[in-house]
Amino acid sequence: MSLFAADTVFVANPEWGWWIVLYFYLGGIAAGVYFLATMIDLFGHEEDHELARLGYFLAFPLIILCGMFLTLDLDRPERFWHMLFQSERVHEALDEGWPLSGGWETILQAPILKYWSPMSLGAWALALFGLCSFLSVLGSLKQKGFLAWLLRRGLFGRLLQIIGIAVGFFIASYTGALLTATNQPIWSDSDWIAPLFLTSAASTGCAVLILLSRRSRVSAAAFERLERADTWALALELAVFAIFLASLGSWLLPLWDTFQGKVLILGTLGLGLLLPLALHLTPEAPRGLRTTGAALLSLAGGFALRYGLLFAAPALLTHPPHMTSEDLHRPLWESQAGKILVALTLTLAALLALAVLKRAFWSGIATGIALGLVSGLVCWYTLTTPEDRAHWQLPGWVEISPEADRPRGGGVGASAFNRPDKLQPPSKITGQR
Amino acid sequence: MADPVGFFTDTTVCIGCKACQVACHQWNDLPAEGMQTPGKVHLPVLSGNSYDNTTSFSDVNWRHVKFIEQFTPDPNRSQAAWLMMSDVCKHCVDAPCLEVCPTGAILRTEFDTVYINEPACNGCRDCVSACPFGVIHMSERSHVAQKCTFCYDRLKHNLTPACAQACPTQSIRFGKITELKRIAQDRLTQLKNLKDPDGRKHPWADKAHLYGADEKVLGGLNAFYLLVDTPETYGLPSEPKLPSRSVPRSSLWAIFSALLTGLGVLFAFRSRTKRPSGPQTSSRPQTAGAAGSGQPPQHPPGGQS
Repeated sequence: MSLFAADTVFVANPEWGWWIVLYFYLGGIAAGVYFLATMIDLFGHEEDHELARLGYFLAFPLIILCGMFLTLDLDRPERFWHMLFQSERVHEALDEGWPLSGGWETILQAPILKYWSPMSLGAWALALFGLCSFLSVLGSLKQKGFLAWLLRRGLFGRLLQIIGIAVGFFIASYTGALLTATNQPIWSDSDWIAPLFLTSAASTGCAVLILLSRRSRVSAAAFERLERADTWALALELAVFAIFLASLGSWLLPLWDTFQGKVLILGTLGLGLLLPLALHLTPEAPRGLRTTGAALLSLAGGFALRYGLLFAAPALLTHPPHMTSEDLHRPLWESQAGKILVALTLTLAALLALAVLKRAFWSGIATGIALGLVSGLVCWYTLTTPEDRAHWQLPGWVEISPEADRPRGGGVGASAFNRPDKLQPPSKITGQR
Repeated sequence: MADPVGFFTDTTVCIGCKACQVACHQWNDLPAEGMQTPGKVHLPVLSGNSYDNTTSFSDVNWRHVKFIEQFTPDPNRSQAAWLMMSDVCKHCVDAPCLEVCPTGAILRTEFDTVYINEPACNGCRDCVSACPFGVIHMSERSHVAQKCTFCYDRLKHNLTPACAQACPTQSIRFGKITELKRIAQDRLTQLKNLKDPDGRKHPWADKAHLYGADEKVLGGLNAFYLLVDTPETYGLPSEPKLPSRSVPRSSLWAIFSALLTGLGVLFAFRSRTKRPSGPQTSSRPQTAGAAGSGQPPQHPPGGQS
């Protein structure tokens, strides 16, 4: 008996909606902008520092906004701090008189960090990035003076920026890992959402800085660099997007059948990647179109990516695909879509490599090799099933969670922060509510 | 730590009476579906197409008796069979919900069951997306995650969970896991040798199997089942995943992409700094662009040698 796909997915819908879409989008932009602002600070001319300053001034409020969106999305917003501190311990410390008359020992045990859970790590990363970007804003208040030297120039400033970039990159990508670390359709079917969000953060961050640079004094050299960085980010995102589509396997077909899936694929690929990339690579195109136009398109594509991906999984839960579970376990190659994907990837790769080869021989060869690797990965994903690929997965010792392979009755596992011994559940027996 | 306890649900003796569902509602003070808002009277929702009127788990239905109607494929549907199963939170040995919960609200009790500590839950719904069985739902009343507590309070007072206590056919059995496994094996052996009245093998003999008794499904399920058809027929996934299993792979690719992005952009920013001219003013934009884009952006960092 063959089962329909609807009969193989039983998860409930977490109802992550618009707040989360906006967070994924703006959080990515904030991280991208911070990264590029630092790059301009490090390698730009003196007069370009104005643009870097604008970048810092944008990244900080954006990340604050993100925190607000995430709080609003909670069903109990007033408990947002539970993400960082064990509420029970905090209450206990308060009862012991913290901070005035004791309770310090308890409060020091209060922070909770489950490093194997993307959401738990992400909450801390947001706090850390908020701090970094705030200090960078402080350092950017005046172009000269002690604060600017301490927070944007000196050794401490550089260290701060490097930490900021690292945490920013984390924020840009962990949101993808968060979606993968579920049991939802599409989200949990690909390992490539995290890198996809990361590259998209870089390209949308570039786009925002290009738009900002229209309003500030910036050297031609800096602008040219930004444009080159954007081209690189877009090309990388295009490669990751192709691999992402292939890595979905046969789930690509039901994804395409949903409206959200079409927005995801057409919006990201067409609007956000191919068009802006083509504009960047056509020096003959009018300047306004090549800069502002491409930036706006890239921003629209980044939004389509977050919207499409976040709403595609619930769409598949409410309107399950008319496919059998065997169909979903076939290699993508056996369908029309698989062949189209491979053909498109190979054509694009060949065109890009040739275009570069015409201009510079060795760069062309290098591009060719890189694109060959990408095409190879796309073909591999298209031709294999998840079961085939299981052999290639990371070995067991890479398990990061204490819950993995926890035996029956085998201790606390991922529950290390909890103390059931102290817990008194509400009960009719004790009359405790 | 007490001995791990669990439920062994023998679906072959379930008669679909829903006593377990009622007992669960009564003990845990759960209102009927659609009756949650105080002061507002709604009629309870009925499915209208099955004896299954609650149709799924919800914030107030922590147990759900499934009625699976099976017909022979001939046009007259000449033969019909009913599979019944009282579904509940599986209290997984490797629990996806507990693993992802960022607040620590979901915890492992001393009985090896999985419990949501409501005062700590802030409603992020990560557990809802992680549970492969669709067990957890958000409460319309208290806006926190809700699921079967395994009657944690009753366990603490040495009482049997309400559902198992109420079950009239012993379809739901409560006890220590080791003991339940032995009972389950005995019952399975019995079914494997089951004969029809005419002496032929009973159709269940080949199909009967245990789901969640061994480590294959999420390290084992503390609420495990005896089924007489595929898990999917009962609305149970064959191969659910522990969410953290994908995290190292995702991270690896993400770090790889981060390095490529970082190095590529670094390269884009560095390659022109050697130009001897001092700071240029902005008015002369992209005439140099054509020459500039002769420097191709695609090649991998370090590829320029």
